[in-house]
Amino acid sequence: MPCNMPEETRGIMKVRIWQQNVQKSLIATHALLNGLKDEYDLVCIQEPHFDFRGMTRAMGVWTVVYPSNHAEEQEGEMTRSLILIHGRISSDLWTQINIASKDVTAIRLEGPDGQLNIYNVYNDCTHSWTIQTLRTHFEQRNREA
Amino acid sequence: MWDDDSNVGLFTRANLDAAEELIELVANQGMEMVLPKGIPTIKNVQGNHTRPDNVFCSGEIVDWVMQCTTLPGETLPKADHFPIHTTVDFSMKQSERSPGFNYRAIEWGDFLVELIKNLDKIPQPQ
Repeated sequence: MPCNMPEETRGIMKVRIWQQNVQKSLIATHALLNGLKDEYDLVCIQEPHFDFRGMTRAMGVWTVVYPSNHAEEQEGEMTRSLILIHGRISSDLWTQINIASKDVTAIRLEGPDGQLNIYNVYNDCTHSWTIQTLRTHFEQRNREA
Repeated sequence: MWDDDSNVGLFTRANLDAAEELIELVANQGMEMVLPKGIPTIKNVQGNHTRPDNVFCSGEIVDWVMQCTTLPGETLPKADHFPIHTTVDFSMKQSERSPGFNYRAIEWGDFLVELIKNLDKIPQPQ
């Protein structure tokens, strides 16, 4: 895409995304976080690890975005999607997109040339509820556009 | 669909019917698969390579995707899914916040000289 950013502005010229299913493992989560080597801007995690407080682990340089419904008590439903945003992406350049699911985390990035929506989806192979939620979300978004 | 054609066992009528809803959503939203077909994303317990993970992108911005591939050599301990690396050509202003300390990069010789100098300023216990 064309870049309209002034040359003197320090900028991120490309967004680098690491996508990973960690199978709820703390060991895999630690290995992931320690192996990123400051080379990634977003980490899309599926089946993340949570501690007894329902929080995941991440170093201070990452902002953890939980699904909109993460804090809601829903029997049998666990959060299976997260997005980590690196601190080099300024907090006034991204917003969370609300979706009523524990399996979808979505954010919108704002750049000088437009917007980029990122959806991190865990799609359970035993049902299609997440796809139905996404369909409703997209239909609503298209109506509002 | 995006799995390797050699995984014929996956392409059963029941599986294809179950995938219909996803395919319809993707088609209606004009999304395209950017992770090349046939690239596996998991090695399951039987040792088979299959493709449960995918990366879709709106057709209008598919040209923004510079790279999308798996990194099987960097599979994490306790994980059987391969990492997927995607690079998108999208520019943003970088945060002005100052970087944190990198303690691993300490020059220990200089650090100890400064430490001793500053410790000397602390009075002895009385």
